[in-house]
Amino acid sequence: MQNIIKKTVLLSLVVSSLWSMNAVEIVDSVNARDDGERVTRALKMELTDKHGKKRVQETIYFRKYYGKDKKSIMFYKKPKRVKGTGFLTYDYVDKEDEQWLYLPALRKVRRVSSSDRGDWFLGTDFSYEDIKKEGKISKDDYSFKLLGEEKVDGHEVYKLESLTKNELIADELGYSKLITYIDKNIFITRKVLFYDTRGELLKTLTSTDIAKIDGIWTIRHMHMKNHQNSHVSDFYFSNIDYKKEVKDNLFTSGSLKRGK
Amino acid sequence: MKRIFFEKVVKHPLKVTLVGFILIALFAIGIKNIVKDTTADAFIPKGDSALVNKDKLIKLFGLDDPMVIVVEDKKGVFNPKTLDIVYKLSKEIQKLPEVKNDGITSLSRQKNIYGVADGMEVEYFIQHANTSKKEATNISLSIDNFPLMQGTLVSEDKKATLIIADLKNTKTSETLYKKLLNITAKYNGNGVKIYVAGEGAVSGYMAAYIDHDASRLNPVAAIVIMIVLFIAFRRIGAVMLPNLVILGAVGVALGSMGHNGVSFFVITNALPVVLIGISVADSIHILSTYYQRRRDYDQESHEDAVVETMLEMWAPIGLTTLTTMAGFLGLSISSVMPPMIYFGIFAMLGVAAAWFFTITLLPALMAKLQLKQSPLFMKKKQGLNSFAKFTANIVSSHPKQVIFIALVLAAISLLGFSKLIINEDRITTFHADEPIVKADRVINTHFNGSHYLDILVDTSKEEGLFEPDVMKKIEAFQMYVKTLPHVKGAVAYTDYLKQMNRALNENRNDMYTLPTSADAAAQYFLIYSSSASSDDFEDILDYEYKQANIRVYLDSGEYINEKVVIHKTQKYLDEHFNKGNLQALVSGRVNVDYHWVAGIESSHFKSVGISLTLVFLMALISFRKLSIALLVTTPVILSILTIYGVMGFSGIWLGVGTSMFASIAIGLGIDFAIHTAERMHSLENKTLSANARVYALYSGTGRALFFNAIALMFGFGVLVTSKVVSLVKFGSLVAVAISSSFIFSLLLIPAVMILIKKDK
Repeated sequence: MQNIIKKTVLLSLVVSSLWSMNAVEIVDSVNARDDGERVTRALKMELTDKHGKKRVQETIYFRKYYGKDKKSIMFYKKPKRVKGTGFLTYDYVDKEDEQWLYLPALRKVRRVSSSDRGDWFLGTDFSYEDIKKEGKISKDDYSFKLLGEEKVDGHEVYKLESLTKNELIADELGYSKLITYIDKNIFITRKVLFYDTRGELLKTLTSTDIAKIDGIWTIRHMHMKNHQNSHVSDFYFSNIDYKKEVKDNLFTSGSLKRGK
Repeated sequence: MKRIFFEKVVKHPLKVTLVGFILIALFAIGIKNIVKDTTADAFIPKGDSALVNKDKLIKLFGLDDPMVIVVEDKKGVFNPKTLDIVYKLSKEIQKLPEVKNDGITSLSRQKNIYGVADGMEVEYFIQHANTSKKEATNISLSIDNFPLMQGTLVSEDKKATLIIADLKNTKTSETLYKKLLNITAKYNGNGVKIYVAGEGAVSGYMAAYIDHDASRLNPVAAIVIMIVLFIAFRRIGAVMLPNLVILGAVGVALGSMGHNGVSFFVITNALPVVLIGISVADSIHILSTYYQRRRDYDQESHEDAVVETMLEMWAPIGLTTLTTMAGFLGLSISSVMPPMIYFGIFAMLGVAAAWFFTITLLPALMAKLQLKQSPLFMKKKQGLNSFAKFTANIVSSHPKQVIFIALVLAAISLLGFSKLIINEDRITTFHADEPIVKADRVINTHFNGSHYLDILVDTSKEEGLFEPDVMKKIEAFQMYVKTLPHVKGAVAYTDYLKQMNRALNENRNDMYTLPTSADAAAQYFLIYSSSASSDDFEDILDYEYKQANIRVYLDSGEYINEKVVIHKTQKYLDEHFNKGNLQALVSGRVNVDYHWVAGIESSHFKSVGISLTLVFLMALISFRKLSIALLVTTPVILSILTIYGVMGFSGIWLGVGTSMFASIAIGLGIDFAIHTAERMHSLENKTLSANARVYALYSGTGRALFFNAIALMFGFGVLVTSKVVSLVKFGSLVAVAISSSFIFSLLLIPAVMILIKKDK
């Protein structure tokens, strides 16, 4: 039922786009995009520091929506020394998130205080908010302006400017402005420029290798470059499956301990 | 040949002047290219191992010199008001374009990690504005439970805390420093004091100092010299003409620096001042001779008088120019510090230029302007005569006693010399009441110290730092180094692991230990990174967990203290680390400072030796007599010895600024001896009594030498008004050395020569 509503909204938005869209309509279309009620996928994080030295981490990730709330769990597979380390997260819409971790070396599950929105996600160049939003744009945080239409990698895109609504939000997120390039046809963001609270370019996200999987447009490679510290994070998603059953008991401390 | 040259100069004064001015302009145009370099690193030769190691450190760990803002509250910082200041200041400073993004370390930008019954909390110490009283107390307790923060972020007595700002680019330190002063000013008061310190601030401060100094020192020097010239000659022409020579010398020296891309260092400020004093000396001798000629040969035309004056004077001023250059050459070739090497080279160039303009521009304009006779040279009797007569009597009647007194002085000086200390502390460059010095004092009294020695550990394999053996060795080193004098702390990644271990074990104090397996260490870091930015640990370990940095904190920047720590640290590292794959390298600011002062220790006496040898050789060549060459060198040796004695007795360190005095004092001091010996030598051929010879020496050459000495003393003396303490010391030491050279030359040389050649 939820999917049908989403699709209807999307369709009506696409139709209305034929008469050219305004900024808010574009944001609504992006946010209405289906990202699957559940997903199973492998995530390879390749982090490169300014000297070109790399850290490669391989994980497996499960996520499931419970209404507007969602639960996710991630297990490290590589490098060898951290194999079995896991993070379990409950994202709530109306209360603080919860997070637990499991360290094989300690054989203990520990609750960890929730991260702030602007915190860096696991030492990568993404913030927790970047990861949580999965390409969507919060209307509570930003006000929008359509700057025009352009092409990115041969794809027609809307160029959208999002300004944080106030200083408090900017400080929380670590951004004052985003310039987002949104695909006109599939409403997926192909490129985002992030500006820090001083208005200086902080990082650029480029999304490539976009394909339709199980009927859902999916990004398989995200390249985030931090311009200020020359650090780069590449996220590669594979074995993406939106259909495979994700059991509720996967999101428990027991499963965190078992490593699956 | 010489005559033809000077006749041509006098015949075409306008052409010579025009060419002179064009030359000056061509050189001086380079001045606009000069850039300032006020960093301490500027004093180290580019390829030096200490600098190479420090660059390696910056490259690997991004550890460059930050700005450090100290927030001090005598009643303790853990109260809502003061914590709010920290919160607001951190926020405001982060907004400055010169500061790195995420470049602030402070109680509001640093996360606390602690264990609770079922888990672990990671949160900022100060989480929001308007901290409550209860929250303030809790933050204080958190610091008690986070040893890593004690003495680094919060002082041991909790009366001060730091806000550390990393710069995007150290070149902006001056701008940022000024901005920080403005921002912090509004939070000062009500029991809270805020200081801006750190090596970044020192560089910024130094740059502001240089500008301030240059805008004051040079005009003051010029005015002082003009006054000296006026007193010596009482003629406007005689005051103005030497200024053109000064203009030429300074223009050529500074312009050449600009043309050759040499930076303006802290000590370069002394260069124009020094050149002003030196350039004018030649003019004084020429003008004195000229006015004497005008008096003695009143039938002679102006042009002829100028030519004759130049023929008489070109050789002695040429020789003294060479000896002065030899002094600077000695400084330049024996020094290892680029600013000193350049100082020597460009001062040499300036001195040569002064000589060149003295024998071209000066006579051309003297002839063209047809200088009026100086009222002081109208009659044979001159003002200084009665004093000259009195001194001449003493020297000629008691030459042995004069020599004896000189020997006694030398013996006393030797005693003082034995007390001479080679030492340096960069902070003493500034006056003790300067804010930057106060800030430094606060950090060194309340915190672990503002002087960092960094130890670069290399395990030579990926994840090598997680090996329990390696972690234990690093921990043991930290324990050891903290036992050394002036070492207040040592921080490494091992401290984060211990904090983590305790947090993951219900915050039990007995768990403040290293993890027991490599896997645990790796997992702890992974967890730590869950709330850290991608470059959060880049200042303590590299990306492959192969290399780490141990930061050792010292509360003293004095060379003699740093030397002990470095030697003992090196010995420990050689015994426990530098075997097999585990290597440890000493680096950081303290190591760099140690190296450049160690350079003085080895180069200073070498430079004195070289300068003395050079001037001795020149004296030998020009007098062609070993005994006279030795005699000429003696007053200079005595005056240098006197200075060492003064330094030894008064506790003035032989440091960066002060070490330059000797070579320069030798090059300048020898001039008095040469002029004196030459005059005495020429008087020996005349049938005059000893007394008459000494009197003739004093009333003629002696008078010119007196004004020469006065000009130099005041020239260098102006440096006393500098805001840079090392320049003040340098200026006053050279001034004292010159006056003692002058006195020794005019007393000792005639005394010895009288003893050798009795009355005729």
